[in-house]
Amino acid sequence: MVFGRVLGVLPIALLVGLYIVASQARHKVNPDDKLMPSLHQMYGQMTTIITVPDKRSGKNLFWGDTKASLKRLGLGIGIAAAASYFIGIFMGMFPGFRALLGPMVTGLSNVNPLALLVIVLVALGVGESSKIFLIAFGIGIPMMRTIAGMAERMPDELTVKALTLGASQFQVMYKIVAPQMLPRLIDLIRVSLGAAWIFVIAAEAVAATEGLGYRIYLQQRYMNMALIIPYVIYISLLAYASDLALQGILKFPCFRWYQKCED
Amino acid sequence: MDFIPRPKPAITGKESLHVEDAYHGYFDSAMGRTRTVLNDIDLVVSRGEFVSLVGPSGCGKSTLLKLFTGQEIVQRATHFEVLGRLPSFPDRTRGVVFQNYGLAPHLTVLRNILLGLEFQSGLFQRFSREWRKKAREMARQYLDDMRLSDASNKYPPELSGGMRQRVAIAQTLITIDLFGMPDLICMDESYGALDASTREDLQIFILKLWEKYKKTIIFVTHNLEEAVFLGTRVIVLSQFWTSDLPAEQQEGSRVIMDVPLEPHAMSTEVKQTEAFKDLTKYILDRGFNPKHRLHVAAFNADLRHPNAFSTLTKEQCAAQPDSES
Repeated sequence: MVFGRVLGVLPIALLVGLYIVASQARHKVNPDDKLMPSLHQMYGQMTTIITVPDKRSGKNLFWGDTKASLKRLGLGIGIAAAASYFIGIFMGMFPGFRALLGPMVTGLSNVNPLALLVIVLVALGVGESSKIFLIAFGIGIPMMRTIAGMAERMPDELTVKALTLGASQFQVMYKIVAPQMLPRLIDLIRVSLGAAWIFVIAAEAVAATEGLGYRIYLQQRYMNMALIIPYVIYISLLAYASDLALQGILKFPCFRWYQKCED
Repeated sequence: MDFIPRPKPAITGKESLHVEDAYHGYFDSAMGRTRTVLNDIDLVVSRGEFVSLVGPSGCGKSTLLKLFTGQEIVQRATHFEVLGRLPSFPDRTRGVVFQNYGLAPHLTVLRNILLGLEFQSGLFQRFSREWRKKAREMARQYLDDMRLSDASNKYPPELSGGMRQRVAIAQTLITIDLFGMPDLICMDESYGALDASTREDLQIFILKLWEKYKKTIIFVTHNLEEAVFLGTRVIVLSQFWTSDLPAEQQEGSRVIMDVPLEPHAMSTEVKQTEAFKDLTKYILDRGFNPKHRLHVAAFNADLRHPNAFSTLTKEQCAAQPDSES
């Protein structure tokens, strides 16, 4: 077990070591090298942005960026989850809904959200709504399709049994189908997190005044790698943490049954 | 003299099942046409009968039950009345215990058993503390009877097949105690996953329940001994038969035997008697042997139950004069 951990750290350490060696070599030739900043330079840039408020606005840029990005991400995912959960279950359970919305959802799921970005910006403006829409649309439509498919594949026996026990269609939905879709929805969000982060950063790169993605693209103008590289690492850590948090939710006792279902 | 099929019993309209000339099949893409599964089913079951339905694998027992519950609608029939009407959608008048359980995986065993009560209880009952207490006590009683007390807080995926089966049985039977529903219970190999001792316990359990409430039970089983022990009547559905019609019209299963049994529950000791063993063997030999195909005109000898009947056309037994009349 311990040996396995050591083995896993090895390639990462190798990568970092390689970077340090290369960075030092470049700095020896050109002390002003910007492309591969030293760890010390990165540390300096990060402590400045975390501790020193911005001169012009007086705001803390680092926390401001984090808050702005996470808010967009959270709202986008929340809207996508709620919409895909309700519409998906209706589509999965009722053939009429499926017939009505199925073709549209399938069509929309083939639209590349990033290609849509310009239209969204023109239509919704450069404010928050366009970014949130991009995330919600980008991950919500595929999630809706998946939830609909899972609700549709619910074993017939389960529904029939509930109906023979006296359930109404509505009761079958909210007592049998919907609760079973909840942990699956959380799993789906986990899968969609990567895409959601792509959409946040992309939207912020195009039009924003704050946010993690905005900062990276702003610093690109100054070739300030000493800030960009730590920011990229920070974004990765945030993504990892959000995945862990969702995994934690699935470990709640109320989802114990889901862990036991090995399908 | 022409062959005289067994006449139809007098229909009062109070029967649990009244099925006549029922055909059902599924589209078979390999054959490019509909393959008949049920071929001219004639069946009358009075209220309160305990029908054991047996037959070789693939004879359409489960399909027939699907038609009874309303999961599927019969394709062609002159009569198909279940509790007086053509079933079009599953509802609480016709209960079912599935072969593969159909339990809600996200609810504990106790909650699964209480499911029917939750669905059927009115607003008043839901908010009445006494009623809820009564329901819980009833559920505990069932957990005890089904030997599931230790598992009451487990989830179905954590249970063995036999335990899941018992939960599924309790789910349906408990609603009879509290609501007097369903009037017809379809049990599709409900005891298939049980061990011998639990099985015998539950056989006695269902017989007691049946004697108390006199609900109609259609009990599908692969165990002939169980079928003969439990039922007031054994019906054999089988695809092994012949008639004088062209081969493609001989596809699917018919009711080829319908044997009356004791109209009341018996003690388990009856299983050891010669008569019991003889009957079991007789059914096995006549109904389950693909090499021994009975002609439709010769069914009368085995359609012995007073409610048994068969509708035959002259074409079906043209070549064969009646040997039994």
